Amino acid sequence: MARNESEQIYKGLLDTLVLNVLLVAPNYGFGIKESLREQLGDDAEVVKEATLYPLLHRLERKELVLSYRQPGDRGTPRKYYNITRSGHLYLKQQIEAWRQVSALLDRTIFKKD
Amino acid sequence: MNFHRLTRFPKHAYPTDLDTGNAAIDQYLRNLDTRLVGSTGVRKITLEETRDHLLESSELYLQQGESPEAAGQQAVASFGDAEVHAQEQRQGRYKVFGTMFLRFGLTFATLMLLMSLLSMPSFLGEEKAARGLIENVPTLAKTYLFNAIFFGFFMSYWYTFAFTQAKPAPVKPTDDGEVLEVYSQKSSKFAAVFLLIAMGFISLSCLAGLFGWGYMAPSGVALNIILFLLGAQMAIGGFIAWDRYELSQEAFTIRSFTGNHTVPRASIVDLQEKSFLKSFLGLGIGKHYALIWQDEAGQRHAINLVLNGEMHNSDSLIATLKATADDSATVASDN
Repeated sequence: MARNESEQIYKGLLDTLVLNVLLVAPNYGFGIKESLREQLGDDAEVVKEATLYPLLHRLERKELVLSYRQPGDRGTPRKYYNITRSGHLYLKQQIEAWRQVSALLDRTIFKKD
Repeated sequence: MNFHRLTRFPKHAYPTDLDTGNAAIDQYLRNLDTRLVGSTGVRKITLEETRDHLLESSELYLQQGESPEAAGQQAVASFGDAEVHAQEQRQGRYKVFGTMFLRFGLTFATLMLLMSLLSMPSFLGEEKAARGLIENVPTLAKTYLFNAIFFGFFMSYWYTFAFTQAKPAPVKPTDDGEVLEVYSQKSSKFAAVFLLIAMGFISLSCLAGLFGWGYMAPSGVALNIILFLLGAQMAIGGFIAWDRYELSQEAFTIRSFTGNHTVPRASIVDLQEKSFLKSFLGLGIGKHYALIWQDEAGQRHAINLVLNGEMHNSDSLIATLKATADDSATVASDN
């Protein structure tokens, strides 16, 4: 139960995490998943392809990322995603919102007397 | 419900050039393909992305010591239910269809309504035209609806389910580094010649009609002027197929019939997409952008840039120009 609930929180965070990966450089689906796996460690299981790709396409529709294809080395083009100016702005707002949540938790639940 | 199969015209078959030789991956891709909407080219965008992911993923399992069969099976299992991915593609395309249906349909129907109003006698006949606008509203409304639905459906269907984006081409190595070239496919040039002949004929007929010659003479001055301009816009707009863009580390060059323009890459400060209406009415078939660049004196200039999906590397160019502009904005704000 606790695991399921934390997964829900992670999913809420996933758009921020994906945009944060793209802040470093444009990346493709598998590359984004691997970057997230490295960052999340034991919690990497929450990043499933069935969640990641719909999320990327949703971010693209919202114009927070844009995609383009380049010749790939496996005989087919590879689709890359890049963060847009609106994506930068959204990420900044999301990071600030999560910072406030974290500060709130520190002041209340995690407070040590 | 197999409604989506109606959108797979003209080819339903799986594109066998995507076969990987790994049974589990190939079976998954074939299963996914049956659930996707659109022509082969549209479906391939999703299939190629999935194929790329599955091959990368299975290679990782191989490196971990799995057999090729087991690696493929694990990659497929990890990727999840094909229906989930297919549903995402279908819903995305249906949303595009709805948006384009409204945009194309309403724009075309409004244009036709405007032309009908300007030439009531030739459109409705002398007798009906004499009755006045209010009495003719039901006829005009029916025509408006018909035009919106017919044209909207036709154009949005083509745009959403049939149109195939050009394959990306490799960057060109030169002595000064790599150059990203953006250019149209051969088929676009044939289409442009057809447009030039067909729309040029309409445009010239209307021009003749303005002087009282030919079959367009009874259509009235206003209608002939509008159709002349629209015909000329479409005929000349096709010339975009011969435009060529080159982006190197140092400069961005536009080569077109109107001449060549070169802008230093570092001076690019923005790439703004113009509205649908401006793109629809502008000269050149495709999306219209304003490329903003700044000269050494700090003066800003704008160049019109037209890009469409039939051009190789058009998506890469947009992404690179936007990233270049964002980098310039970051440098400017840091200073």
